[in-house]
Amino acid sequence: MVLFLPRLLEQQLQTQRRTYDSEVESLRGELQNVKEENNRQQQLLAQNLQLPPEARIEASLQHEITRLTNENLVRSNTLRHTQRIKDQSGQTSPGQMVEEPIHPVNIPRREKDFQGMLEYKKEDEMKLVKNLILELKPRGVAVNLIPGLPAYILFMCLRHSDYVNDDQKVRTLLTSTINSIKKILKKRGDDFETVSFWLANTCRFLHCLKQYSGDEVFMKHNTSRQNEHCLSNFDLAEYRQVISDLAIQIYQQLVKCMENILQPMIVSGMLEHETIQGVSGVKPTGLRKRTSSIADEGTYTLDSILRQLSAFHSTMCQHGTDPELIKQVVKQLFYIIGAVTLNNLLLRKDMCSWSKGMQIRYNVSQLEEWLRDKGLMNCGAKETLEPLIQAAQLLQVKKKTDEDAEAICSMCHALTTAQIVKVLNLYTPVNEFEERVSVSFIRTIQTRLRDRCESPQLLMDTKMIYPVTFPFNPSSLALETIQIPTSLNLSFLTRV
Amino acid sequence: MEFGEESSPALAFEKDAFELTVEDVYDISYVIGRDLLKISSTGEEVSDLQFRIVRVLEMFETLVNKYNLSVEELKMERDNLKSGVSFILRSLTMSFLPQQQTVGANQLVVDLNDPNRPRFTMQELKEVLQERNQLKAQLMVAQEELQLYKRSPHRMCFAVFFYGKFNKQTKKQKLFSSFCLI
Repeated sequence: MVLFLPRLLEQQLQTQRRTYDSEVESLRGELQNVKEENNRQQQLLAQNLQLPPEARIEASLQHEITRLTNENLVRSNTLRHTQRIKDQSGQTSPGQMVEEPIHPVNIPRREKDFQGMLEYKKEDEMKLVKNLILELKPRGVAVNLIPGLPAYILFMCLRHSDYVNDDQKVRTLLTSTINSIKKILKKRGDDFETVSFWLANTCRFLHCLKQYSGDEVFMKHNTSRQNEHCLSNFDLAEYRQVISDLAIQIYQQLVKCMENILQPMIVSGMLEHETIQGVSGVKPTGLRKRTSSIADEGTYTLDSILRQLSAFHSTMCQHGTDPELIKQVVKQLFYIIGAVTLNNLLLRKDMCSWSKGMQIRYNVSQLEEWLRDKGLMNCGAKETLEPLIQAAQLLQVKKKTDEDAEAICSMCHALTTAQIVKVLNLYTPVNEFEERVSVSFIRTIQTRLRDRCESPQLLMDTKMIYPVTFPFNPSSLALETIQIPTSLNLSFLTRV
Repeated sequence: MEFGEESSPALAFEKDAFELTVEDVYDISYVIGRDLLKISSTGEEVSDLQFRIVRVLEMFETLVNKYNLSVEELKMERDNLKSGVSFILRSLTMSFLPQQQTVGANQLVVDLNDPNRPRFTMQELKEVLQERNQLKAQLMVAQEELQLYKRSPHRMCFAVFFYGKFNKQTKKQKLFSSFCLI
């Protein structure tokens, strides 16, 4: 017994030492918290004192609301946790109730318990932005199955930061998001898929900001559950403007991207390649009797253009681009096709014949058929081809008498006088029976049209881009149903 | 005219399993996602199903990718081995098989180990045969002389002497000359 005594004492000393250490730790922690709280309070007071009285009252009320919300969140989490344990074990031991740490617990919950938010630590923000924006491929299982998923995830992260009233977190998240999107567009701005993907997701993010803003204007189609998900603390209208500007920038980049791809195909496919047999004139241009997409010599046909348009359309649909936006894109593309074709026609004598007119009208009808096939008849695309259509008609109508002149003047309302005159000057008859357009005829036309006030410009502006709008397009998706697919490497996000 | 039907995502469903690429898996994902939207636009009723499908398709993507890579690797390895084997075969063939070289017209191929191989020229053969004929003739003369000696021993010496001198004569002449002396 005597031998064990020193050992016993030693053990007791050690236990006591440990107890004291842990007590000191927790006291230190408490002290730190209290200090931080004190600092915060002082800051708030200082801010508060600078505000006018009404604002002061509002600020303090807001502060109270935030505090209560936080407590509520914590309490409900704790309650559910203990509820679950109760259900599982059948009884709670008093010890557990007391020792339960007060912080949100990550355990699987039933669907209706989720609030459609994603929690993350501040230090994980860089990782979030890296995995979700900078390194995300525009094609993958998750993003293909749920179009707009990156936008929803970002918004759910934003919602949580708003919910815990952390304005700094909100600010840095939005800034990082915007900067990363700009970065990826700079890095891979030539890749149509990347640009289209981020246009679709930026628009979706913008729609989320509106849909869950709390503005009644944007809440018309919301379910009651969706209304519960509206932002609670911050008004992000200014950021909406920034993101809207970003979307416009992406749209313009997308149009340029598509134009670069289409450009080499337009003249060849619309003017040079001949698909109508037996119609070509004395000097045939391009290749005859071929309907394949790319003829032997590697030139482009109308079919190439149509295939490319289909590829664009399909990709945009897969990315979840708003239908209204797709319409605007298609209209813009058709404008470019029409303008480039017409400009080429206005500069080449070999394009101004009756048979070319025929070919152009056929090609245009094929383009219209494509619009019909995709359900885009009312997007305004056809109207952009009007100058080209009228030029083609001009090549085919009679150009001799005064009646002819009158008919031409009323028909070619989409062409400028300079353009009409140029076509008439360039017009090449197909055979020896037909004569060139007489100078007097052209004079007649010019006289009839002299009262028009228009620019003397001959060529169409191929760089013109129609101003784009992003009509509000709310989503019916319920945020609380969203889970994070493994392949996105976002395991540090917690569903709340 | 069909516009872009070749690029339709639904075509991926008709492909053979072993012909699939990851791009097809993405097309499949898109079509399934669209179909799920038809059932539930909010995602409430199908949410668990939806994300289980995502998980399965992610696994499928990994498998398809791995499969295609493995096929590529195996093909390369097989081609390497094939070329290695044919190289070895060629080397072996060259060292072991006899030279079945192109034999020109009027030529003979002789195995040097054959004991019955031809060894002498025509000239050599002619000389040997001539010598043999001479020796044979001399032998016959010598045998006849011997016979004479055996019949009359005391008269033979002269005959031998004369016979030796006139050994170039024919047999008949030699006999006659020897009788004359006696």
